Amino acid sequence: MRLSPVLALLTACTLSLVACDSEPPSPPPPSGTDAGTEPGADAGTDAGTEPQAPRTSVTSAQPAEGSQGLYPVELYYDGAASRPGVYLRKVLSVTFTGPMEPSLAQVTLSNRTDTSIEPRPLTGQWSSDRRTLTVTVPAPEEGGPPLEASSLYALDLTQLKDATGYPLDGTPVLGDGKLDFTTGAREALLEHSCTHALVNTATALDAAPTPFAFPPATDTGHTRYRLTLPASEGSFQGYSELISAPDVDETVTLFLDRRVPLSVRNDTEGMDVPVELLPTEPACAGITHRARFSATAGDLIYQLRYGPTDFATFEFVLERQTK
Amino acid sequence: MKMTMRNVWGAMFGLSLAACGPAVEGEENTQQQEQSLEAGCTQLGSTITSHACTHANNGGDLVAVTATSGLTSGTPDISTAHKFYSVTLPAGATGTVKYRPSLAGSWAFYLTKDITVSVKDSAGNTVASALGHAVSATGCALVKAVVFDLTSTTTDYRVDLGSATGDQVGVVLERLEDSRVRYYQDADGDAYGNSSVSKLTACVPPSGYITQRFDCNDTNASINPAAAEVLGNSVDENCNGSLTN
Repeated sequence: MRLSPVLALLTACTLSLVACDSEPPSPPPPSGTDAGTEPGADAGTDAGTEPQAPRTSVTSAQPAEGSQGLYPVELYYDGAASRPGVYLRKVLSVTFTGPMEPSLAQVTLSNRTDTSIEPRPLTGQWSSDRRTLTVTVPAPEEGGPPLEASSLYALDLTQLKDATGYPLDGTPVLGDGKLDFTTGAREALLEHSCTHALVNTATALDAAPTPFAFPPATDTGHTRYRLTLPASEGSFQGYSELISAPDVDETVTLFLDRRVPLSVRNDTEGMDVPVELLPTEPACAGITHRARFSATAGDLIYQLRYGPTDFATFEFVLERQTK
Repeated sequence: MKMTMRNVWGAMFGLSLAACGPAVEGEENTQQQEQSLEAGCTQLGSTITSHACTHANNGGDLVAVTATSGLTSGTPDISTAHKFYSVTLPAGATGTVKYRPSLAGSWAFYLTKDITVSVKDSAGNTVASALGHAVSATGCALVKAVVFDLTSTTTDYRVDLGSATGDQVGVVLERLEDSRVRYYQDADGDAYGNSSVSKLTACVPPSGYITQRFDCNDTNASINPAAAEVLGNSVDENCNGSLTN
């Protein structure tokens, strides 16, 4: 019996299983088995007999797999919020070896230290080349930070598929398809200063070229200063001053928007004062370093010398803490 | 005022540098009684109020709590400074919250409503307010400030709020000692203050005090760092320590 053309086509499709299917191929078995690990391979045919292209996997992530001490929050200003102000979030990102299916962007964040916290489904945003997924973790609606401090987290990426519809190969970099990381401690003073860096209007001052040229006072706590240094022989450097409290010893911290060399002199007693200049945790835009020194009670004059730098203007939030 | 060796050294160096301008010889009113509101304070200054407003206006600093009727096991704590506590009170009644300061000192309770605030220590003794007044700052919901001198950092204070219209009030707590500003006497009104006469305060400064110092002659408005030096006389008009420039 001669088959009609339509019947012949249906028969051919049924036999070949693949030739007439416009849908993506069926997902292959889980990682660790051989069959179907090659995108475009025909399940049930000659899998394993031809060279297999590697499946899409993770190349890098921020935070890195297995990293520890991740700062758990980022403070940012949201002017579009019903109550504009500084809020908390944490942004994570994962980059893949090839383009991914852009309609699938859901991942699941689990706190493995406190398993009483329900895993959070989150939807990321794909980059234009579909190789990087950015996941913004907001603060939970019920309150609390986006990530708890000192906790082990896992970001499950196994719901993602590549551009041809195959699941992610979770073995390279991640091992199990989940991005594991541990958060560190939070620092209240840094976060408090971030609020001032993001919200306050800066007090603009010109630093004095010498200690005797009436350096401006930069000694009010919770204040965001924008200091401009005078030019000096191809670079910039200048002075401001701080006067200690009459009655209490204090720790003075400048939360800087960039690394600025700072030296401090107790001018009243004629002594140089040790300054600790360190990078800060990435808690917010606008603060990258901190410079810290001790100010002894007694209305003592402290000269702050900035530079030399290759920039004229920078900002800092000044905080004074009673010891 | 008790003079320590540090103060002595400071005073000596201050005196030696006074002629050059940049020196502070000490405060006019340096001796404050521990944990007491400074003498002469009649109103909180703009710096501490502005700081409190920053937190009152910042959505991220909002913390919602529900006060209880009297002190109970469920009475909420409002002890974190630099937060804006939105306190829900019992309907038409006074509500109770707990407060434990991180440091002893004078603590300002900034409020969004003109309500009564009473504070009791852990023994039930009423702590008298040291200061209270209306607050008015542009774009800020805070309308009242009440200051209490709190000495215990190891026990909770009971704070009764209200009642309030709408059964809700916002509270920001700030320690005065953390928001002090140094002001200098400007007796001649030339916008430069006397480095030797200053006051460090969170309160409104005395009349005639400003934040700019370096006036080397506070009795003559023609002498200050912004003045032009007149050559050929024996006066250092611009306070730079030189008679020739």
